[in-house]
Amino acid sequence: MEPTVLTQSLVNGLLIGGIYALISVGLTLIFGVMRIINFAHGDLMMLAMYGTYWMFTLYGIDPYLSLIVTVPILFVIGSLIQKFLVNQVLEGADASQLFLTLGVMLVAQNVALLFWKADYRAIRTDYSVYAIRLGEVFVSVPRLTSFVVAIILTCLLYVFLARTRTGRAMRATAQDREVSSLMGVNVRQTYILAFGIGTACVGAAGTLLSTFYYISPTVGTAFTLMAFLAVVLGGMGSFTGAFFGGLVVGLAESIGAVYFATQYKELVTFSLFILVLLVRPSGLLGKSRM
Amino acid sequence: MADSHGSAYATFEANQTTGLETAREKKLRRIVMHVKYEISWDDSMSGFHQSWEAVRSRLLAIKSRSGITKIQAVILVALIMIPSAAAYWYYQSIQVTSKEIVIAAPLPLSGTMATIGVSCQRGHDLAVEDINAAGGVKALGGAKLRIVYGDIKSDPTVTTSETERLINTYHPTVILGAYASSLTYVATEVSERNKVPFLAPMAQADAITDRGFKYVFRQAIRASSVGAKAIDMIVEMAKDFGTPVNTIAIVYENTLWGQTSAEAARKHAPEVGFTIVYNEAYSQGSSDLSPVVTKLKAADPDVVVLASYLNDAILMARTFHELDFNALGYVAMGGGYLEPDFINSAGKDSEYFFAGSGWQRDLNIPGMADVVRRYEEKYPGIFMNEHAGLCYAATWLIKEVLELSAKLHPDKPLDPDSIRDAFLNIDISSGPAVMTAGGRAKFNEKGDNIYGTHVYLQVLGGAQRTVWPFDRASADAVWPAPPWNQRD
Repeated sequence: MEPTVLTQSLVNGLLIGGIYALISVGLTLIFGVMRIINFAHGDLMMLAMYGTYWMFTLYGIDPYLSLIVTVPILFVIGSLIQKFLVNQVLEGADASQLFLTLGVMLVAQNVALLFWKADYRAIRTDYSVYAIRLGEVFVSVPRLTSFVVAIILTCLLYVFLARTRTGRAMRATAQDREVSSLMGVNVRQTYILAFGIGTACVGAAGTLLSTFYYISPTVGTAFTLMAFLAVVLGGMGSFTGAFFGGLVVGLAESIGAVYFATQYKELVTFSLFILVLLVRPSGLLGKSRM
Repeated sequence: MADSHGSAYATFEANQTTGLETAREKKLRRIVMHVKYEISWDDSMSGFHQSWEAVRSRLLAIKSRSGITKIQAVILVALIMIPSAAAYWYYQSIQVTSKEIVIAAPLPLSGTMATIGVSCQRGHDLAVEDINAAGGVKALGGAKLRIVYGDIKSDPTVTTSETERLINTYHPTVILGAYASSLTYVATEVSERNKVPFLAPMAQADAITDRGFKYVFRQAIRASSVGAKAIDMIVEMAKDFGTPVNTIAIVYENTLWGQTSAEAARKHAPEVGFTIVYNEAYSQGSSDLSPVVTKLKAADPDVVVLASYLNDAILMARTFHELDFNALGYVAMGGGYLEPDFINSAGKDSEYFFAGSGWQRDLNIPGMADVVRRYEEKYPGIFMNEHAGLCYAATWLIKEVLELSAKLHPDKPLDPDSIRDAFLNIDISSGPAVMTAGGRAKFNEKGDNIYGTHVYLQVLGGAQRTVWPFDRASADAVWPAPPWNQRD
């Protein structure tokens, strides 16, 4: 275990883990508030990635600047999906909700495939290959910047949930839907807000990822899976749990890739997941409050 | 209000007949204590009941709002399905005239190998244009060639179904495909089952012709030779430039081509005295190669031998730069490193990479310069590379095979066995069909072209220049490659 290799892989893992955390936090918001398994989570992120790509390619807008555009647009898209699609099946069987988000996933993927083909695209900015050198460890500039922005956004979201009235209404709805409606919380509106914010999170993550990750119509699937992994690992219904879950998954992947054959990095992540659940079935941070 | 609130609570409390409350009731009671007057309380429980009824009926009203009716659902589905089906049938209806010879070409036109597939397609198209302009297949009365393409999406499962579809829809005489070894391997299974002759212009994995198939032929060099040639080139470069090379690393994509060529390099390296300090596969199509490069840096090889398709190649070059991995030489055994897009997308990071190629535009083969010029006029900004070049030659080779087949079996020239016979008897050493590094086509019993070979190019000044074997070089190689921090 050479210290340089270990440190480099820890750094890489942490940096990508920050973005995983942002995605997971978005998912836990949706799942916690509405108990909906959102299969389309990663694919909404994919839409944000394409949005960033086209803004960069056609208008030369830097990916970090395009956050100002993609986050609100994804928020609106998420709200519309909740308002016109998911809200209709809220009272129905759980299976309907599952299939609905599955349907959204398939539609998003295939629309992207239709318009933009399956070719991989990448955003290459001037700073894409810059790396800050700390001793023997190289920290890639786009990854670091994305990590910092992701952490800031996660903290903002936490403050929103903890301190503002609307945030507390959302947490109340997550705890008990019927009683919250008795308390005067407009449950349907809260759902729309929750889905919107969750999608906005994932949209921000997509924009941040696109600075160093490949963009293709199917890129979202792996992230949806990873987000579920992180959310369950950290403890369902727990905001901080999802956050740390994301970091843990990032670290596990990175260390697994370096110390086992690169092909088996997912094996490490999933084995860790199974181990944690065996020892602590409710996840690392359990059934704590959001 | 506080009073009524308090008394309502008291009434509620009083209605608990047992001391056992469920958790839910406890919670409800706790929250009720903090309610903010959204529901007006009367002094009696009847008021509470009324309000609760109001809320409950509102909730029930929402619940009973139904979705669309069955009829509406059926109409909606029909509205979506019918235009889709119509579009599909429209695109499938293509007339096949009798004076045409249909060649099917399953190629990866989307997915991770998309750009390469498109290069192949361009090579085929130019060849078909030239062949038809020159009078088609003369021995078959000037029959023209027609290629139909199928997109196999860089995926083996799709390759199987797409090849089946092409065979069943167009009944081709011959199949040209499918670029990658992993995809060609499965496509040839389908073609062999259907007894359609298959010519693979570029797939190198030995396994493709090692299965005893009768109708599979390969124009390119075998992967086992590719790996060995890479090592030989390194030996000669090291000797010529006076830099001792002792340790090598082998980094390869994990599908059939990567594995076979890496295996060959792995076998030959110790025979010339190299020590292999790193030998690992990575998942083809990975989005992040930093773990690989981190480990490479720790292993510190003199030279690194690579096998990647396009996207991985670009990512690899950029990650080398990002993590400051330096070696004397970056020797790629072909694949994505041969694409113009490698140079375009990786930019300066692609400089000094070697790549093994079965075709090069600066080899002095008669007639080649003209073909290259016309290709580059047709597709401005894109230089002709191995993928386009070998596909061009392969299409002409098919034409020559058809001519021979018509001569040997004039009664049934398009029969699979006649075409097979023609393949086994052909021996050409001039003309566009052998505008390859090998310069000659003759197939053995297995289906391999015994004259398939490789030259090595290096990316110099943003262009591919042949640098090895030295007697065929058009430019001097640069060895060792300057470290990243010394490049501009």
